[in-house]
Amino acid sequence: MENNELKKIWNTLAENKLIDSELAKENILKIITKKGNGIISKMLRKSKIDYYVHLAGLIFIPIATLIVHLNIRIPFSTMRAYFGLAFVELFFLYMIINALRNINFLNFSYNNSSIKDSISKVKTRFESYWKKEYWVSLTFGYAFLAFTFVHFFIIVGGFHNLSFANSGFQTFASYFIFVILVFMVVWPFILKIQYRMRFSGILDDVNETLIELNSEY
Amino acid sequence: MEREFTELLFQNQGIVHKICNLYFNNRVEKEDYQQELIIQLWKAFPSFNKQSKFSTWMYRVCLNAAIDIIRKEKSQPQLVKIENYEANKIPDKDTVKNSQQEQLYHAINKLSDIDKAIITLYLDEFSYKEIADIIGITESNTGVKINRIKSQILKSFENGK
Repeated sequence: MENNELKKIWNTLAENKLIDSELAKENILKIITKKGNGIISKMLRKSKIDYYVHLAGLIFIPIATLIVHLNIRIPFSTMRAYFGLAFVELFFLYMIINALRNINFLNFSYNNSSIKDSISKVKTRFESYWKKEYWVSLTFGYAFLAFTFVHFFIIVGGFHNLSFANSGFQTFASYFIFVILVFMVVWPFILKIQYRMRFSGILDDVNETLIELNSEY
Repeated sequence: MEREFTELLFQNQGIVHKICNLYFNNRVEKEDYQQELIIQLWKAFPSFNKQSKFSTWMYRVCLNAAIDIIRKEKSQPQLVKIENYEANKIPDKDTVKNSQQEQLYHAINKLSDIDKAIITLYLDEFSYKEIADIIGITESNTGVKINRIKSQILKSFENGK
């Protein structure tokens, strides 16, 4: 088959099947002024809802806990309250970071450059965003772990009071301190594994496309 | 500016339809994709410097946007409806089926996103230099890639016979 023949088939295909019914000028104007009905806008809306729901959780749960505590006047077990709240808050913080990352990722595009340039820019931006997120998560994680460690350490009363033999609170606290120390060692690796699990798809896709573009075949 | 953009887009809207049908034909809510391409064009419009043809600029932005949307969808499966996909069929506005057109459509659809962009530009009579500029590769590489894609398409024509 000749090139011209291929182009002829393409032209017929394009004219007959690929061009949908004509968009009116008023509709084009409506789309560009409303700006809210595209697929990315829909995804953005969902991410923003996620963000606000988790932000509300992050703010209101400690307030609600405090109000309930003050009203009912339950003897406040510092330890239990601290842990329960800390884990719930950490969950909300994690979800907020996720939502922010989604919003950021959905918002950036480099459609004016050549396809290769725009893919390279997406990769660079994504990696630099990840680096920031990594350091923030690392710092917050270590701050939380260090605070918990010190807190328990004070309660236990120093290294000489650590005990792994009995079944009382002292033993629980000793094991907990040990777990915190393990977490401190593996925390950077957890972040990296999490990154690989969540983003290997995107980065592999971007890298494969760049390899495809760079190949001479 | 809105009026100028609307006029230019109205005259060249075939490009949006074409790219939408090539990249998002298997999506149920195709209008959302079409609107997204238009929104991306509008966002990029201030950078259109009129040194190139509007259609060339439009192809560049639309192809970039289409590839970008696909990547974003892949990265956020939780935000994309599962029922948003259906069988990859040729847009059917004509009950009379032309097997050659269908074969070409399916052959193009099987290509990677980049190859799809290259062959679409080639079939739409863009020069090697223009294709190279839009894709971001050298002219000689463009030639090599076009030859490879063409032989892939012709092969699938032969297999279809």
